[in-house]
Amino acid sequence: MSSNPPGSESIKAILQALKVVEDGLQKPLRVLDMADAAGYSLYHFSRLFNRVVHHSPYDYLIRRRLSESANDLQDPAQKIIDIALRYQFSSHESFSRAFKRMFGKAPSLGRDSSTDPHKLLDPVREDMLVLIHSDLLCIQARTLPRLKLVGLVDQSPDPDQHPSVIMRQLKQILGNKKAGGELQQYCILRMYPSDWQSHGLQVMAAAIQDDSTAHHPALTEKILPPGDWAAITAGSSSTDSLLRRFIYQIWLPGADVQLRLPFELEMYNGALSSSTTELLIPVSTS
Amino acid sequence: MNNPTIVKLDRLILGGFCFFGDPFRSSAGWTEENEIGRTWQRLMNFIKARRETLSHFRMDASYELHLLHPESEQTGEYEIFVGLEYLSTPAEHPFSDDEVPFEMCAKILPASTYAVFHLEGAEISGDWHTLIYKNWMDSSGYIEAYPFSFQLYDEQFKGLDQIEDSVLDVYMPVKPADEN
Repeated sequence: MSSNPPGSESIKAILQALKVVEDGLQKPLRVLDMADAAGYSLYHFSRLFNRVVHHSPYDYLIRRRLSESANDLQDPAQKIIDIALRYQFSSHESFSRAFKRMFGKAPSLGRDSSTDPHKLLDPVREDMLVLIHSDLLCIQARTLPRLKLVGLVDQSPDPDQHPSVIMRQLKQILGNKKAGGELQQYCILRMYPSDWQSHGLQVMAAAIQDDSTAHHPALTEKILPPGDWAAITAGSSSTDSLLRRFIYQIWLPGADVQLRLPFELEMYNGALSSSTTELLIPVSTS
Repeated sequence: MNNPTIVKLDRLILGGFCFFGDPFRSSAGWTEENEIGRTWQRLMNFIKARRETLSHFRMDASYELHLLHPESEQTGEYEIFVGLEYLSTPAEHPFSDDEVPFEMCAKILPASTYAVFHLEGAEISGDWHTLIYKNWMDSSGYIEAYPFSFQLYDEQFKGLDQIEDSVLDVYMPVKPADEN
C-alpha cells in the first residue's frame, strides 16, 4: 500500500504528537501544540500527520475526544453538559452536533446502549502506524455477483473470535470438493446488528454455492446481493483486531465510500486457517 | 539553508484562487492530489481558458501564499492562495471590470520588509518553516511582521517530479524585533 513510506524519524515525531493528544483530551489542546510536540511547523506537521495517520490532526483530536466522551456517557450519573465541557466542547449544542456527526445519534441516545466500536476511534499507536505503512497492506475494489452462502450460524461476542468449531462441522458435512469436483470456496460471514456491541454478532461459517446445488437440510442459506466490495489484506504480523480497527476507524472514515451492509466476508483458500487475512466489506460510493 | 536576503517590497496585489481548511485532508503526500494542488490546477486551467483577460498580470511567475487566520493554531487550518501579480498601476478605483477577471479573488499584501530564502532541491519539500525559525529568525534581530509567507514560482522551479533540480524563493515578511 505504501509507495513512499514515511521515515522512522517522522513516525517517532507523530507518535510524540499522538501521546500529547492522549494527555490533552480534557485540556485546551491546540493543533499547534501537537505540532510543537512533534518538532515541526504547523504546515509541515499537518501534511505529515495526514500522511502518517490518515486523519487531519484536528479531526483526530476531535474524534478521540468524542470517543472518550461516548464511554463517559455510559455513566448515568454524569450530565451530558459536564461531559461536553470536560472534552473541550463550548456548549451542549456543539457537542451534540459533533457527536451525532460521528456516531449517527444524539448523545442522549448514546446512553441507552454502548457505542458501536467500529465508529469509535481508539488511540493510534505504533502497531497501527506500522500496519498503515506496511507494504503488505493492500486495499482493492471488487465487484462481486450475487452470492449464495450455505453454512452454519453461531452467536459470538467478539468479531475477532474464529468460528473454528462450526467451520470444522461444516467441512465435515460438505467436504473439500463440490459435486462437480471443484474445490469448495469457504468463507466466514460476520453480520453486525445495530446493537452488536451489547448482544454480540452473528457469525456464519459458509461455503459459496451455485443456485443449482441441492439444499442441505442441516444448513442455513444466505443470499448476498451483488455489489461493490473493498478487499483488504495484510501480512500475518497484523492481528485481525488491528486490521478491523484499521478498516473501520482509519480507512473507512476517510475513504470515498461508505458501508453498504453491516457485513464482513472473510475469504478462505480451503485451509482451516490462513496466514494472510483477507476481509471484504460491502461498500458504496458516497 | 543559507542566510536570507533582506529586501523591501511595495504593496503587492495578487489575483488568484484560494482555499481555507486542512489542505492535506484528502491526500497528504507531496503530490498534486491535495487542495494546494487543486488550487494550482484551478489557476492553470483559468490561465489556459481565459488568458486574454490577464493582460494586467505578470505571467512569468506565480505566487503561493500561506496565511494563518486566528483559528489556525487551534484547528491547524489555514488559507492557501495561489495567484499572479497585478502589474497595472491602480487608478483611484484600482480594479475596473476589465482589469481583474470576476472569477478571481484579490489579495493585497501590505508594503513590507521581506527575508528572502533561496531553497534548492530537497529543501523545498522539507520543513523549511522550522528551519527558518530555528536557524535564523531567533537570532536575526527580526520577528515575523505578518502571519503569512509566500513562495515565488518562476522558471527555476521545474515541477514536483523534478524537485531535485528546482529552486524556489520563499518570502517571509519581517520587522525589527525592537519595533513596536
